[in-house]
Amino acid sequence: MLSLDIQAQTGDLTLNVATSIGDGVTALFGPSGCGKTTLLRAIAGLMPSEGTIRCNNVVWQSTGTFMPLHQRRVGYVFQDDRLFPHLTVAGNLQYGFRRAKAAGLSIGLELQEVVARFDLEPLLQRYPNTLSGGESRRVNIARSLCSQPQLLLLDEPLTGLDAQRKADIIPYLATVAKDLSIPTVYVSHINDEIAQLCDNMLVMTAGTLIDEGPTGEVLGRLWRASGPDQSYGDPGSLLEASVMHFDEANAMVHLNVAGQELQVISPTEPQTQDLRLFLAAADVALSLDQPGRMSIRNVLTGAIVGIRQLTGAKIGLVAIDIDLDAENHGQDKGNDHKIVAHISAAACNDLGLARGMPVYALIKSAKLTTPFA
Amino acid sequence: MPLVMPPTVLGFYLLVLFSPDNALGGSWLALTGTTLAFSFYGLVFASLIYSLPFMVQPLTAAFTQLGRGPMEAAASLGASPMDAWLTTILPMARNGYLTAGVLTFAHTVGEFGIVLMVGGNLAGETRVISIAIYESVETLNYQEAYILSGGLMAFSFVVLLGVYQFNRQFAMSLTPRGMR
Repeated sequence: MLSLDIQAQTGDLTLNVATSIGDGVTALFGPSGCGKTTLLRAIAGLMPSEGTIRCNNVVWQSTGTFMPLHQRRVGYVFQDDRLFPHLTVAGNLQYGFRRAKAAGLSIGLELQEVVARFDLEPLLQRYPNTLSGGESRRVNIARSLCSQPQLLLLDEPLTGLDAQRKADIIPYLATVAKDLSIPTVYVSHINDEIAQLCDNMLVMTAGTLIDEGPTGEVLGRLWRASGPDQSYGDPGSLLEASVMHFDEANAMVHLNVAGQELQVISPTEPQTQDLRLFLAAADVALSLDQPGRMSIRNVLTGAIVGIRQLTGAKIGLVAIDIDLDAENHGQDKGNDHKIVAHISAAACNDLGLARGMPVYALIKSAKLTTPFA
Repeated sequence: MPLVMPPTVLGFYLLVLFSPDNALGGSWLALTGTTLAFSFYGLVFASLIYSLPFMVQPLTAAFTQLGRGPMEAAASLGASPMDAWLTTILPMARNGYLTAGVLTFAHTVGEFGIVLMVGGNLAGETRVISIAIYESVETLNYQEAYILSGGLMAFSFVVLLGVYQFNRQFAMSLTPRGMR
């Protein structure tokens, strides 16, 4: 558990953040320049700040005390590649591992285990300048784990990688994060990545947090943060799905969501049984009748559990919350199988939508991609 | 200071300092039995003082180029500042030392004023190539001047080529493949 209550000033940015971050992966989300990296640097102690930072009941910083980074035990994956060019991959991994061992620190991560998990065996004797972008990102993340950190800070660790390389890394990250019970802060401004990896979410703007909570809930109300000048990307919902089968000929994976089938494009076969998908609210259309012949392959049935008028940047739109669990018609039972659709207020009025009504939710397969796409 | 001081002036002061009447020259005489002025050791000492400042610039450039990144990364892996410096900055700046060393050496080889002041021009003892060239020209021995000058020029060229080649290779080895 990481608790912080800090203030700092750098350039135009005034950082003022008070929150606590539990075990598991927490997304730090916000437009560029809002202070995400500054917050990470303050947590790491690389940027001076006032206030208190406490990690697992150890005071890292408060009035009159300041623990420097090398004593804080923070695994920090920087936005840029910071492997040591004069050491091999093995040398880079051992750098933190040996020092942690010498200091008698351990979170139970053995070097061999990390090497195996990140599939680094073939790279061990190579020098960083011979690695591809994806390989070097993997080594960066693995190296930070080898130092047995109490806290993991990942600053856009997948930036600059193409979809295929991201697809290589996300499964690693997801499993590592799940198995290690240390707080992890994951900086990103990409909804899909967050949906796939993060349990909780912090939304930041101009140096302060404006929203925080479970990823599914926060993603659904992201529109509130967006203004005319700033966009937080598309709001949407998080779907927990399990893989039924993979149709290689059509590059289509068939998923089970709340007992209903969802078809999603995926160039490669998913490596895990359970998937999380981000479904943008604007990509969902609604129908009151059973739709006939059309190109949209996904027709999910559910019931309306909420209707909200949107304002600000989304004026003229209505958010419709739909529960996909047929048994729960009309009753909001948590977030698990709920999706949100943004439709125009005019359409909402014409259809006469109201709470409790059964609806068909239409989702284009082309709009959905798996974490591995 | 030696960076901007005229070599002849520096040489003069060093000559005074090297004289057996002075503390430095006196103690050297007592220790070794020879004077520091007009000796090979005196030359080395004077060249060192004159040329060392020229090492500072390439070294500063090498350290600046590395930035705070490696130190921060090392600290996040549990290395104390001293440990981090010794294990990252020191080895990563290795091209800086080599470049600085070679350039300073080449610079010293061509030095004239300070060498003449401190070393005099004793054949077989303190006569260096650049002074030998000067003397050859003075005595109208152009043949020897050509040979010596040609040799120095070839030497300079080889040094320059070597430094550039090494720097390029080194820069390549530090750059991630995708950025080349």
